[in-house]
Amino acid sequence: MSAGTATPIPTAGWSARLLAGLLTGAALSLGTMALIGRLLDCVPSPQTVGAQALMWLVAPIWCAVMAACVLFRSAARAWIVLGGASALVWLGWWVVQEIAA
Amino acid sequence: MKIRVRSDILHLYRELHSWVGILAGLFLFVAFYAGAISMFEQPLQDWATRPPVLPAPVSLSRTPELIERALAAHPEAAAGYSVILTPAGAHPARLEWSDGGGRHHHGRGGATVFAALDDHGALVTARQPASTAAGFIDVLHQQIGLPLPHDIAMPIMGVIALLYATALTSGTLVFLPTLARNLFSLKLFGSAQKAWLDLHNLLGIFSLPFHIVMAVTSVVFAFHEQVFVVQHLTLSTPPAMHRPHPAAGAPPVAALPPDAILAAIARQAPGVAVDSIDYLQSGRAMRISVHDPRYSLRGPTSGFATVDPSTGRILSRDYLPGQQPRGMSVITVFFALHFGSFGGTPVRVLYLLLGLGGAALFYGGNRLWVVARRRREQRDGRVRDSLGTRLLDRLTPGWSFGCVGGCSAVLCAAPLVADNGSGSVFAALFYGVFTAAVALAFVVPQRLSEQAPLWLASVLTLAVAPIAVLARPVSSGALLLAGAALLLGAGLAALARRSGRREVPLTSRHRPRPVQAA
Repeated sequence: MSAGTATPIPTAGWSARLLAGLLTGAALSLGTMALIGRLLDCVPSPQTVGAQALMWLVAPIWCAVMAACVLFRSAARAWIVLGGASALVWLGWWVVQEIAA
Repeated sequence: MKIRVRSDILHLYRELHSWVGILAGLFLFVAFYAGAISMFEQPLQDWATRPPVLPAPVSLSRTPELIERALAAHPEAAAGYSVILTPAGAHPARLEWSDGGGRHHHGRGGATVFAALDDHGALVTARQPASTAAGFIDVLHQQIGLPLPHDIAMPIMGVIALLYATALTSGTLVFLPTLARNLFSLKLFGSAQKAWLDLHNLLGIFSLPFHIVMAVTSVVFAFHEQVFVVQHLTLSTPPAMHRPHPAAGAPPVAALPPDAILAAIARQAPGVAVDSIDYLQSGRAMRISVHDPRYSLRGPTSGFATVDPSTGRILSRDYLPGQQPRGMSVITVFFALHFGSFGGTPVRVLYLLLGLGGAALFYGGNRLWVVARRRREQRDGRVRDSLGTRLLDRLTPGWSFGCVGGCSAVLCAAPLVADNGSGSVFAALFYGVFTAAVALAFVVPQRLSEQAPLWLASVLTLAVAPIAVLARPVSSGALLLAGAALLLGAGLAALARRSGRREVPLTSRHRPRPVQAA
């Protein structure tokens, strides 16, 4: 992202970066929820504390991604980094699920 | 206090804030204005509902007799009936059940049957729909004013909530470097732009925690169904969860009468006030609705518990205020922070003011966008406003004060319409006024485009006051409603008078400085 570099982050093109954040934010936040839910062996029932807490986890992550995604220098970078992070999280979920099965 | 933010990031977030704000602002205005009114949804519904003509409620000890007669005459009520502890307002009888099938959702339910006993012990029932006026305004709040099916409106609301969250972070970041300089420099009587900017910044920074809570909780409310679908697909369900409902095959049991249930609840959860006892599935299941101002409530106005109908033992304390397991009580705080369902009436009044403040924040934000854009266009040598500037210049007051006027029109009609407002009479009224205000803002000359919808909203809001006290027997609630309507209507009239004066054009009198929030 921007740490350590002197070249300014362009303002133009923020909307494409924001769209990347909106969509990858969904994948990343839901993936994080699924991974943590698997690791902690949560039950997918809205009546349980675990499921409720997991639901509340989604919103702050998604909001944070929305706020930060415009700091990428281009939409392509935003897609690659955030999409990659989402893929990693979902891969983690899959691995944990396979081990548990 | 000096906070340094890199100038490129500042520029980026300023641009982001202004565009995301303009995209979401008008929807958020509706959400906050209707939400502020919804803080008093229950008292409004009590006021609006025309009470049925019924004998006085029987005592709690005679209630079993009432239930027995009612079930003999209306066996269908056995599926679920409610005993009301203090009958009043929208729940005027000791016993009621819904004949529309299931509980009321989103303000559009069937009718309710109310039951009482006359002097000779004979059953008297009255069937009537509950007033849908307050419920309509609540749905307006939830669906940010979108007249769409709930399943479609909610994800759109969610995206707006995400944009709102983005506008909050970017706006705060843009404002931070000038925090110390601008915090207490409110100048309401200078250039229009400076006044709007100061007001916008002041409202924004002082109600920031409220707005953060609203943004995050709204994202959850918008997407909770989808989130639970993902949970079902990605987490493993233990086999025990698939067992059939235990009550389904069980023979009917003798459910305890209401006073015995109350005594049992008082023993197990002292201090909790029971509002109603729901006898469900022919007495096989039971749910109580309660409130307790000492604790956060899971719902907008109440907490819940399931109870064993034959013993009165509390089966689940997950939503019972003051009795919840620690995890659940933390989760409940998140809900209560959105609903303002903690601390009783003072918090509700505070939330009403914060909601109105939020609406003012968004209105001011849109005005700032127009003023800043107009100034930039003039600097670039344009003689006339561009299409976007002209559109937002007129749409903003038409939309916002159309929403205010529409809500007031609904409240005016609420106690007057037949059948307590069945069908879509309130929707027709609201969107009629709303459309008229928008049209008005577009057809009048530019200098009147704010004033005309303001007058419309002011007159409709003032009209709520006489209707509040005349259409129903005078009560403290009706007087408070009338007072609030007079105050708000007068405020709108004052704004309209001020708006009549032309916006101060930009002159050298004002030192040009960068626009911070727009």
